[in-house]
Amino acid sequence: MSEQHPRLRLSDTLHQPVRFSMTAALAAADQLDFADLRDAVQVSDSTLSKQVSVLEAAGYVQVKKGFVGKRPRTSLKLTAEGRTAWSAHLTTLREIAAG
Amino acid sequence: MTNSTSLPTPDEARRLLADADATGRQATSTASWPAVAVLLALGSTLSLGTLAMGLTSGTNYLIAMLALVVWIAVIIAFQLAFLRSHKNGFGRRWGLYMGVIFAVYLVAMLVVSTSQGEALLASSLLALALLALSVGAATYEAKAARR
Repeated sequence: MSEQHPRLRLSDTLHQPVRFSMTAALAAADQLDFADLRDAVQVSDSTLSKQVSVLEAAGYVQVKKGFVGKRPRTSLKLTAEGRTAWSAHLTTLREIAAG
Repeated sequence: MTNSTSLPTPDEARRLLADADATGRQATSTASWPAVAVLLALGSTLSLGTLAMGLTSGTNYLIAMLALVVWIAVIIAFQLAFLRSHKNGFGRRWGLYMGVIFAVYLVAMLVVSTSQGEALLASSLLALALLALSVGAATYEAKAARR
């Protein structure tokens, strides 16, 4: 059987533009605050929440909710599975970029 | 595997890789600056506090100690409020910075609490060590924020 074309190995979950940017930001961090991630990706709170849910359901992102004083605080980090998937996605993109 | 009909061309893939790199750098560089502020504030507070407590006794010593405690409380509150996001590897480095700085600070407190305001040389050297450690750590984090 012939090897799959690199384009067919791209993850649908990570290829969506907002999720792609979110994962790129999270991959560079131990953890990111919700507001810092929103500012980096430049989307609304509701759009970010929706995409966080998709990544969380895929097992790629871990969401931690807490409070500082009375203020709610949400922080996000890539799981080991998320880092592996992101690394594979980037490897595939590099293969495509190389032609 | 993607079922998307708009699969990237080599040029688009190169652009996506560049975007991923830029987004990662932008997200974490902004997040790193509160750590620099905390390290500089902590260094100046512990260093000047050590000097003040090492050179005074009695009521003056207690006032210097109170000011030090107030400043540490302010710095901890600032850290909790603003140090929310961490660049890759920051958690490990932060633990190292705090461990080393507070080990030196513990020695400084042992010296100044028994010196009765007479430990000029030891207080000065320990204050200098706290200054060097915190400025060194802050400089490393500032450079890391710009990478």
